[in-house]
Amino acid sequence: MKNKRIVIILASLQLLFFGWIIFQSESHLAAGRIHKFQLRISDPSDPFRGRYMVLNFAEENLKISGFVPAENGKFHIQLGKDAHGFSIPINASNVLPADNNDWLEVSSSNFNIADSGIIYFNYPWDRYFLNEDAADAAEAFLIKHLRDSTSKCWAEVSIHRGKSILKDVKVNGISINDAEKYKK
Amino acid sequence: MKNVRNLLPEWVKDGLISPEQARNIDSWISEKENNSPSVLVILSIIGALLTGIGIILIVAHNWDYLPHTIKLLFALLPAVAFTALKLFAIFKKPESAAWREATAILQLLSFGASISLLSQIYQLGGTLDSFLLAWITIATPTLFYDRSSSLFPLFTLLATWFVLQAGFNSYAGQHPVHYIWMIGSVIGLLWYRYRAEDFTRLFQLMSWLLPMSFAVALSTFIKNSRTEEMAFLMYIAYSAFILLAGKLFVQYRPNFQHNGFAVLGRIGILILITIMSYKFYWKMMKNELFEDKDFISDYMFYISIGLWLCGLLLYLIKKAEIQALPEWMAAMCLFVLTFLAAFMNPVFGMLAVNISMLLIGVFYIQKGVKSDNLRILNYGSLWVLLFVLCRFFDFNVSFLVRGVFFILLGLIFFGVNYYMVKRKEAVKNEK
Repeated sequence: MKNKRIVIILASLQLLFFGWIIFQSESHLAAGRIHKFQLRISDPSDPFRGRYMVLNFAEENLKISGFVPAENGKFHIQLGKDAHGFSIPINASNVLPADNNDWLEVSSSNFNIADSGIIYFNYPWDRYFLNEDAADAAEAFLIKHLRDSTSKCWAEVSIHRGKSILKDVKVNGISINDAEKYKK
Repeated sequence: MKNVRNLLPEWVKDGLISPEQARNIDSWISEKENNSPSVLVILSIIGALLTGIGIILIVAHNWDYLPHTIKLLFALLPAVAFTALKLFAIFKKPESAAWREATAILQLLSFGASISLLSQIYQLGGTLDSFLLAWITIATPTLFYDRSSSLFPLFTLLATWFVLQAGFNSYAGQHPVHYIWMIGSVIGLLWYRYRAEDFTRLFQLMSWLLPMSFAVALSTFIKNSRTEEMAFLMYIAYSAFILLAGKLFVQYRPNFQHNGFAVLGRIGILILITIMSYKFYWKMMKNELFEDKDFISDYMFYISIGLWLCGLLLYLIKKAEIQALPEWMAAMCLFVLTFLAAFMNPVFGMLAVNISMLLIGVFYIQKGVKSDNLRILNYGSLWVLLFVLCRFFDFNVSFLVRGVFFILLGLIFFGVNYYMVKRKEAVKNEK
């Protein structure tokens, strides 16, 4: 069969694509730097929608003058640390610098930045998927601590070359996936 | 059919038909049987869909308790297993349509499942359009190496879904250009694979799906437009173009008479011209579209012009083969006329549309009568009927004007009728 080789090559290419996703993600996790983003309570009654929870972040804006995002609304922000060790945006740029484990690609959520000098943007992760059965316990656990001003809730994100992988959501250092164990 | 085939030798023996005729009948029957998809194929397609969905659900159920590596293996499993099955079908069961179609659908679904499982493991989130883009990209090679025909409508649906998601949920200035290669490979392969063969059911189905998909894709231009009225003109140009394309298909495949391109083009023009026949259309165009000259910078403006130029070129080249298409002509004239709306009284535009509607109707009625074709006759009557209904309930025109107009119209129809009856009698007497 003349075409046999072509068919097999094309089919292998399809499968290699999946390997490539895994390879990319794993090498990202190995090389990336961990950042913690503080969560904010916004719709306290219902941060959970079905199988995922909605993430709202404390800092999703940056006061900066003279910066205009690229036309497609995407740009990079530089992350610094606040007093509690949480990552906060400190600078913005349309090009990704060489040392880029502290730079993250985000998309602008507001085009009228010229007037206020504040850019609003969205972090690329707005939801965290988790176990359906653990969702109830996790929800109660999270809401309790979001309301408690002494508790800290954050999303743990690995950042590498401007891209990010959401690793976990933690409450005072405890993974939301283990919330069931700390019910009381 | 089988019974007839068994009887053939007997008929030849009894001298009812010649051996030559028997052979012809035999090959005719086998051709018919090959063309109709067997129940087996349809059942296997449904079975493949159900199994695929079931597998996704079962894996999803216990997902969260599995360790990372096992999760990765499970995520890869559907894609690997069903690609292997696809290859098995290609190499070991090349003749079986049931195998071919079922494995193709399963492979397509398994790719979607694998991608979504991987993006869950890595919490990649992402938007629906980026998921669809990855899915379609990775599944496209199958379209090239496999002969399955059910992939064509599925790809068209996926690409249309993508263009909707990407077109309406993305930021300003972004147009879903990936749609072009997606639908391009569907059309290209469809044409390449079947141009030599007789037009099949697949072609019939695609002739409906493709123009609808294009219409959806064109709608994404409306979102970022500042002159939304231009969309109306774009869809007139589009309807006229697909009507012409549909007519050309008929030229090459006479059995492709009622293809989706021609029918949808006709329906589109009928509806749009009916809307144009109201005064508000001409007022709207005058006041809003041409108030500032913004439409000059609108994509939709250039798409419309491009479609008309292509159509015109096709028409001029194939003039002899395409029979008279009065609604196409009317749509073109009214399209041009709309751009003059700024300089004229809306009543003039409205009158032009109404006259065109009547002329189109009369043209088809006369054609239907002449060729004794009830379908054409009804199509013509539909134009006249729509015209009458719209004008009768058009409250922007005074009762007096409408009254006089309808009386005149009635008299004209009476006159034409009288003339035709007279002519028929004259023809009869000559004989």
